Parts: sequence; C-alpha cells; structure tokens
Amino acid sequence: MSDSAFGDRAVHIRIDGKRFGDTAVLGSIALDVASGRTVAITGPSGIGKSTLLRIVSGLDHDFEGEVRAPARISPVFQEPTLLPWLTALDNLTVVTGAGTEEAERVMQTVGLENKQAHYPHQLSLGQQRRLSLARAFVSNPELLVMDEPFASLDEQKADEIMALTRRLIEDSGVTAILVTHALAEARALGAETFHLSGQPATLTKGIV
Amino acid sequence: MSVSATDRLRRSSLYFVSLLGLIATWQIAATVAGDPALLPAPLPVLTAMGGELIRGELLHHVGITLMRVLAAFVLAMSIGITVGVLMGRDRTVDGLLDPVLIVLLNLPALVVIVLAYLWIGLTEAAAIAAVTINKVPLVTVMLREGARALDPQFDALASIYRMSRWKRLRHILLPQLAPYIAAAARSGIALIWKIVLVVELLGRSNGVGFKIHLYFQLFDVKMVLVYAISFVLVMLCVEAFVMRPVETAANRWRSA
Repeated sequence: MSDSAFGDRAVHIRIDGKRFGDTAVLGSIALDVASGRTVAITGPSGIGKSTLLRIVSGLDHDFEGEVRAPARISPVFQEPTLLPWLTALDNLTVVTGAGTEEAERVMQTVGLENKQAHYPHQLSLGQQRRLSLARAFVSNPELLVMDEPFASLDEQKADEIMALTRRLIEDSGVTAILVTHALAEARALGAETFHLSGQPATLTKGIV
Repeated sequence: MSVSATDRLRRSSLYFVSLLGLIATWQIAATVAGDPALLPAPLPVLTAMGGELIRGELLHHVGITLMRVLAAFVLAMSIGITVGVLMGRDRTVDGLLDPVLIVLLNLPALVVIVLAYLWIGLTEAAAIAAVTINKVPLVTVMLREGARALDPQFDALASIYRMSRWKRLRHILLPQLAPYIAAAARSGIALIWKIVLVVELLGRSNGVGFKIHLYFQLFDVKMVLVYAISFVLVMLCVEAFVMRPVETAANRWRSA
C-alpha cells in the first residue's frame, strides 16, 4: 500500500474484488499513485496484472470497489498495436486527435522524423515500438498505462526503448503505471515497485 | 518494367488466350454440330446481338436486369454486413439468430422466389425481396467470421482514446472488415444476377430473364445466347471497372 505524501493523488485504487465467473482474480487492492510518479506492478503471468490495468484504464467496470483515474490516459501495449492501414503520422493524429505539428514534433523526439508517410509494416519492430511510444505521448496524457511494453523485444532493443521511455516520462512529468513480470524493467524506469501475488491476488510493496 | 507490371501483362495475356480458346471451342462445336438452330456459331450470334442493340431492345432489358441486381446487391450487403457484425460481436444475438441463419442458408432459392410472389404478389418489390433474402445469409456468415476476427486491442485503443463512433467505424472497424466485405461482394454479385434471372423468368415481363424465357419457348437458341452473353459481358465490366478498382484502392496500404 502506498503511503506516498507526494502532492495530489493522480490515481486512487480501492478494489474489493474482481471475479471472472466463479474465479476470484483480484482480492482487496489499495493503491494511490501520486501525480508525476512511476509505479510498477510486478508478478507472474496470469496473476491479474493486466486485469488490474484494464480496470485502471476504464476498460473494465465490472468489479467491486472504486477507482479514480485522470481523464486523459494513454496506453502502451505489449505489441505496438498500430493501425496497419494508416501512415505513421495518421496513427498519431487520427487515433489520439492530436494536431499534425505536435505529432511531427513527437516523432522527431523518438527519432522517427523521416518516417511520417511510412506504413507500420514498412518500419522495423524497434521503430514500431518508438511510434507506439510517440502515440502515447502525443496526446499529452495525465496517466500512462503500460502493459508489458518491453516483453517482445530482445535485450539490446529493450534497453534502448526503456531508456527512451524513461526520458519521455521524466520530460513530460506524466504519472505512469507499468505492469511487468520483470523486476529489471521496473528498475530501469526508476519505478516504485509493488508485487501482485496470491489467489485472489493482493498487492504488497516490493523491494526496489 | 517492374516485376508487378510484367506480371500484370502476363496475366492479361493469359486472360485473352483463355477467352479466345473459349470462342474457338464454340466455333468448332458449332461446325461439328452443323445445326444453327441447335448451336449457332459465334458470328451469327454477334450479328444478332448488334441487331438487338440497334433496335434498343438489348439495352432496355439488360438495363432493367442490372438495376434489379444493383438494388438487391445494395440491400443484401447492407443487411448482411449489419447482422453479421452484430452476430460476430454479441453472443446473445448470435445464439438467437444462428438457427434462423441455418434455415435460410438451406432454403432453396426457388422456394423463396415462389413464396415471395405468392405472398407479396407479382411485383418489383417481391422480385427484389426474393433476391435479397437469398443473398443475405451468405453475406451474414462471411461478415460474422470477419467480426469474430476483429482485434480486441484496437477496441481497447479506441475506448481509451475515446474515439468517436464515426472514427471507430471508418478507421478501426471497416478496414479490418474490408477483406470480408470484398469477398462477400464478389461472390454476392455473381450469385445475385443468376437469381435475378430466375426471378424475372418466373414473374416479370421485362429483363434478361424474361427474354431468355421467351426465346426458350420459341426454341430460339441464338437469341437465348444473345441475351445470356450480353449480360455476362456486362457483369465482367462491373467486375473489371467497379469491383476491382474499389478493392485495389482499399488495399493500397498493403503494397505501399
């Protein structure tokens, strides 16, 4: 449980339980994330991390308890999740509603300044990742939710993308929640770490 | 010349070789049969076609049939896409409508046509309705598959960014369904025009089906062929100048 004394709380989570049919996935979970902080939730696959993130993102309302999160949320998924029929630039502007100038600026920040007119399949996996990060930041989000965003990358690429992610988070001052099975990723982002375990799963403060 | 241009040239030359082969076979068969009343050669049929064209008969009846095909096509695609997507996305709707779908899929076209004429009367509405009802189940089945294959991550993305309904339809849903819609349209237009001819034969006093029925009763093989071939040509044009360009435009991003 967070005893954070930092500023106002951007995210307020009080879940009493979440079930899928007869299976209780999440137990009692309380977590507050202060504005501008990065929090990582670790735990083995299938424990309910993604379910927790879906609840925070407002995609799942079928749970007991109360969750308060900002209005402007940006997701980063395990896969880049780009629309293959839109160009790189349109992937930012059409999906998020951001303006062209802003989109071009963010693409430059992530090192894709010459790729605006490219379709996702014309980009390397690393570039697709950068584009999905650009999409997450272009809408000037108040909360960033990341679900295993580095899992599909090899070690070298993952380090590179993690460093970029950390830089973007620090520069924008966005509040961020990362879900991962790898503690190293949480460390790389300098995140306050919590551990999700048990069935139904509960949250314990981890050792950073 | 690029590889794809060479490939296209090769394909179109094969296309013409195939067509010429068909006409040559017809000529040989006509010569062997030696009875123009039973199987006229290509040239007399072409001459007769020109005659009908000049008299204005051909365009009139082909035009009427084409309008019926278009009306039934637009109706069947609209209903089939809507119902198919609903069934693919909602299990309750799927459970409710699946038995109906199976019944309709197994209902012979002829039964639907006869019942439509008996219940609605020998009207244009009955004709279009009969063709539409025949085609809707096939479009529905194909689009249900398409809706089942939709990527839930794109839905999550659209929800989190609160994309408008129009943007979701235009940029998320339709591009994912495009290959299924194209397949349904392609198989649809071919099926629909064949059923339209039966509908015209049974209960209309104009159109290609009516004319074929008329010349069948007069045992005029040449004129049957004139109307049949004319309409096949029209449908080949629809395929080449409408269906294919639309498909190419929708798939442009793939070959970028």
